[in-house]
Amino acid sequence: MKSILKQPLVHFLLIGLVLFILFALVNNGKDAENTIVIDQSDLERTIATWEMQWNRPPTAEELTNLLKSNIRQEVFYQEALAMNLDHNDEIIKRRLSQKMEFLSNDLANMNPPTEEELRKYYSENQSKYLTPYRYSLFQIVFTADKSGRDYWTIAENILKEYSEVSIQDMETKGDALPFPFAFDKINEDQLRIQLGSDFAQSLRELPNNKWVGPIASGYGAHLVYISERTEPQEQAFESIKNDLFRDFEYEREQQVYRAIYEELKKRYKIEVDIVPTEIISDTFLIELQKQLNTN
Amino acid sequence: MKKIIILFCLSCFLACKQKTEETVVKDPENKVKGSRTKDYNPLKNPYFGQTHQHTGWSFDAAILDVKLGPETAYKHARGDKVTHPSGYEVQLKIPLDFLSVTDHSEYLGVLLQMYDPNNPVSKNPLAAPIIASGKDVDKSMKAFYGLVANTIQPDGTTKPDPDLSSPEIKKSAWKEMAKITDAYYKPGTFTTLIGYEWSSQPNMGNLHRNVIFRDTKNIPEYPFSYFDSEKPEDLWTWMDVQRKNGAELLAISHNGNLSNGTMFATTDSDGNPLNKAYAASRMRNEPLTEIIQTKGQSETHPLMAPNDEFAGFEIWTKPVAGPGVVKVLETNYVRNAYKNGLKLERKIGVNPFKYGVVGGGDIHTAIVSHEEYAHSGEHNLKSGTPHNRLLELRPGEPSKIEQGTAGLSCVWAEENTREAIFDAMARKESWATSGSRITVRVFGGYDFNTLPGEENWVEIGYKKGVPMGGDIPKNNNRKPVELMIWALKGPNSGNLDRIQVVKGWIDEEGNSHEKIYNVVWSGDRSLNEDGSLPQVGNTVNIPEATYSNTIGSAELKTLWIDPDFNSKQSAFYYIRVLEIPTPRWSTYDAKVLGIEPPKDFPATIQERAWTSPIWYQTEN
Repeated sequence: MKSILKQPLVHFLLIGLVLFILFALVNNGKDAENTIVIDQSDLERTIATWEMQWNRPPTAEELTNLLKSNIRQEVFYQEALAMNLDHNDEIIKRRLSQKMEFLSNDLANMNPPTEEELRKYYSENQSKYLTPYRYSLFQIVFTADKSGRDYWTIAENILKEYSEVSIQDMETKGDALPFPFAFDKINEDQLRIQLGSDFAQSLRELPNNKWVGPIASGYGAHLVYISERTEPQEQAFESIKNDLFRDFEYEREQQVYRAIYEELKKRYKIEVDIVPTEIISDTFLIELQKQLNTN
Repeated sequence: MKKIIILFCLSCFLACKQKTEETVVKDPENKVKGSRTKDYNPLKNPYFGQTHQHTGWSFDAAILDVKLGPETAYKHARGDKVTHPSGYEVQLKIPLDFLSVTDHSEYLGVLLQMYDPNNPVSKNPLAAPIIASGKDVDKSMKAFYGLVANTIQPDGTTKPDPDLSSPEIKKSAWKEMAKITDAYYKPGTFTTLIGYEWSSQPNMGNLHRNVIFRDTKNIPEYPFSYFDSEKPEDLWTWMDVQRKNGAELLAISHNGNLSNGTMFATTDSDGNPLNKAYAASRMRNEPLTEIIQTKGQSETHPLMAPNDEFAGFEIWTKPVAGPGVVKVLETNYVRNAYKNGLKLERKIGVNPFKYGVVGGGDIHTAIVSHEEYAHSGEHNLKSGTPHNRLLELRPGEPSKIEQGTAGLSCVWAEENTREAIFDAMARKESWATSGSRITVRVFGGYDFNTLPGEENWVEIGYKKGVPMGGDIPKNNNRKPVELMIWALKGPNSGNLDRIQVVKGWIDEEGNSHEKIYNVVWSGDRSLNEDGSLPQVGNTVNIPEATYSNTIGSAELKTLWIDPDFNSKQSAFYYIRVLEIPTPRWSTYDAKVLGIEPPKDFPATIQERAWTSPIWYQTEN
């Protein structure tokens, strides 16, 4: 299959090249030096651009001004090119390098993944698509500004003293803070948002169905009773298909981008033309030359 | 399904592309519609996000690895581990709730879309090999190399192709942005908003605005850039046109501090005095402004507010580009704009500066960097490491030490969806932080007869008063304005030092005034006679870059009744919440490097939150 397709490609490349040369020749003939031709397509483009922005055609005056400013830009642009001002311009370099990247992204996305490819991708990356830890829990908290500097010890003592009381009886033992006593089926990300990253992380290792603690959060010392913990679980393929599609496309963009760069770079030999000094040693320069010529 | 796919694979790749996308990717609108998300709360939840994020798609982002595009920004903001352009891994300790990637519109127009046969660009002979290369990626790449070879003229120069800068191309870059924005949107969990930055900078005065859309439906073909116009009036007119086309959008101005007096000027772009139509257009389109971002805060300046002991916070003194220093002018700053707004309202009938506030990032690395303890630089690879930031300053470069971490944009919204978050911004129920996750709530009104934190206080607040960003209803019985104020520290940051009310008003002669009230604070401090409050203390160990939450409070709340209320004076009130001192990012960096923190900058800062104001308008 591949070898059959290869030939049309060559043909197309050749046709493209021929067309290009023709195009360039014709163009060169038309644009005599120091003549700027405003043709039908320039006019249409200018009007279309305006209409897109303003939802109406430009007035005669607006159109004239647009064309005037286009010409001003073109004149400066041409003169700047003639003066080689585009050479080694960092902005132009970045812009063009970015254009190449966008082009590479488009190439990568020309062929959307098939369902099979997506399933394969999922099986290779399953760990990235697990559901987060999820908890149902009760908590009370002791803070330094309300319980005083010994808030941690106070929390420990409360735990010792009341660990056998009913869950509800514990509710009033902590300091008043605007967090619920009971969290029902809250996932780890939500807990992180409310009580901080350390607290959420600590819960992973705690035993279920008993009061434990103190557990540190950004607010103080918590006593926690976990009634339910759901470990991360795999998700059904269908339910995350959009995510898989998105991530697959993105990864392939990166692969294609790297591959194109590596291929293009093969056309260049990097030479280091630097005289060694006390600071920049000869050995460094030799190593540098080697490094720069590998991808 | 499988059959369909096989069929399409056999057909030409263009058809395959379009059809398979339809079968594999559901219409993103399906995700938007439907029932309310799990955490829907008519009394609203706090959400933390970023409304000003640049990526490699911003062309001034000196990230040569443009792979750090909007995808990376969205991944990082939602909590994924990603690689910073400087090569190390970064992950937010607490994920953000929403993000808008706002790359510069001027440079969004570079996507080359050659493959759609309906697109005129595809008729370009250069495109033929690529179109012909078909499904095989290897061959596509070879075609790509062919393209590279072909654009180089026989004489070695390159031939710029006019077709490659047509409106069709601009359109497709923006389209790609919409596609990515939709792909990362998870209603109820993580909201993505499509936006861009309009980067007008006449005479080096910063007039930048971010434009943010409520959804990706009915968005314009491509954004309005400063190539189209440098005047904000024209941007607003364009926004009105978009609204007529069915889009919902708003603008957020930023860096008044760097505007050389132009951001909140009392004349229009042509130097005419402001009129009612101008004010209405401005407020219709631009409800918000960034009160802080990496390039400094725009609340006020010590020269403008000599009695504000906390005014000297994250002051930026350098122009965005070019030499010299920033002009410190009254019309750079939000607080002064609020005061001038009251004056102008009296004169022309509409307040042109009735802004709500958010905090911005303006970080160009695709990485949200809002925490002092995990700062990863702001503008380019040159500030990606502690060594870059503190030890590699070159003459002529903007100071990297002056630059702060990102601020955060925070809203009270019913749920974490595009609609709810956008609407909260539009009605200014928003607050800004200097980067930490302080939650703050305020209601203004009369006769609340309850206290913040009491049962149903929020319901009462909405019923008898207005939240941040609102107008207190007319005052028929001459009762003083009351504010119910509540603030909670961020779970991973410093305790709270105090809450302040910043009030501005105009007297009967039309002169404006401002006053700052300390209204509730931690510990057993008491106010001095002049209304000032002793400092909270400082637990920061500078060499170790640590602090302890043994001072300050986790939560502060109070009912404040304006002791100086005068029903004949139009006024605004906004809340400022201060944390206890904590290490500035440069102090964390210095610890990493084993050096002293930079001498000319504070080693510790008091992070803070600012709410959108509540306005009181006299009856006349």
